[in-house]
Amino acid sequence: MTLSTTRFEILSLPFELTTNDKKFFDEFQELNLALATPGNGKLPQVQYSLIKNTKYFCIRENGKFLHRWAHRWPLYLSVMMSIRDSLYLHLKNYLFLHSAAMAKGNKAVLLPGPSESGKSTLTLGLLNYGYRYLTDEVAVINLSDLKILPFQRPIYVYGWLPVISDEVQKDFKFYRFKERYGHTVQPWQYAVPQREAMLPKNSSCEVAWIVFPTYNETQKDSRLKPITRAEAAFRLMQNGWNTQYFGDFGLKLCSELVKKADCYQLITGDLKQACELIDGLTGGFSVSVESEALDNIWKRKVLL
Amino acid sequence: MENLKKRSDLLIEEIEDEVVIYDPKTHYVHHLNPMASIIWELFDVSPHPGDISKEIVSVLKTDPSNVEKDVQETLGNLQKKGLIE
Repeated sequence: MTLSTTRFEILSLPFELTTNDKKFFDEFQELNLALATPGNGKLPQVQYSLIKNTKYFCIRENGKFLHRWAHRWPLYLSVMMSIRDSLYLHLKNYLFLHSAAMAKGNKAVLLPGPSESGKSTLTLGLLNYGYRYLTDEVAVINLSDLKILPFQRPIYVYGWLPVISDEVQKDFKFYRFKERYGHTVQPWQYAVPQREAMLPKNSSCEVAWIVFPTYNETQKDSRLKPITRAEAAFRLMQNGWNTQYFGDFGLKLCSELVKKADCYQLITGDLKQACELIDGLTGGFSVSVESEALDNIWKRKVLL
Repeated sequence: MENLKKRSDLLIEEIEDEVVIYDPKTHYVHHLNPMASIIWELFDVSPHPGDISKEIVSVLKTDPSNVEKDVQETLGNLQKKGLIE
């Protein structure tokens, strides 16, 4: 059995991954290009192993069993979820929110919400409107200045259809996968920021807008409604990965964050309209983007 | 209601004219709308629903019967959620 090992850092926390699956090892390195930096000689604080035997892939963290998967598609997501949990357990100088975030100029719009609220859909949609990608899932807020740092995970997209317009696509690399799942073949892809879309790890943006998305299947249009800052603070607390570790400070952080931002609820029934509403809010020209990519995002319901 | 008190360990943030409360025991967060926030504030002055209602009616000049009902209901909810005990 040949083992491959890589050491890397995310937000300066050193990790190590060891696997006997060369295919996964190569994928992991490529998918993490915009998120992680190479190990800097520090001893890893968290070690993962992904070992493939005849039937399963078995994932361990610091020697402790975490997951067993029969299929390849959940492997990267599974390791990434564990990495996220390790980050907020070990790092106390950041607030981690369950939120997507996109930037225009030096200002960011936060899109906090639970799974299936439409964060990834809006992330991909807004890329087509000229926004820079900060994160689709984990918003990292620096406690010292309440600015958001990039956490550029690869964006998971179900299916292989193009979801970003040609102009934006040049700064992303798409890694396409498929796997037999029962009687069907499941296709998926990851969009990984490259070149201009890859932000420096120490760059940060002021959070100027907080928009809480909700997906409404029965609604044809999209609506944006202002909400009070107290309600926004309450909702941020509900979408915090680590707010509970801060006690009263967590609530203070959320209330300070909302005081600096304009807060809204977005009910998404139509992606194009939702993007235009956000674009209008953040000072864009509300230019209508006619794009096959937007239709593909919406048709495929890349909502997770 | 007269014997009830706000729990001393709650973490409270007033944001504009609304109150957000973090309960460190349950890790639940509660958001009080503007009326509930006023009732929460006045509860410090007097825990008696009649006194709270009178104060609200005198300031807001609203229908006393509705206010009394709202105050009773809000205090009941705060008690149910364990924020006053």
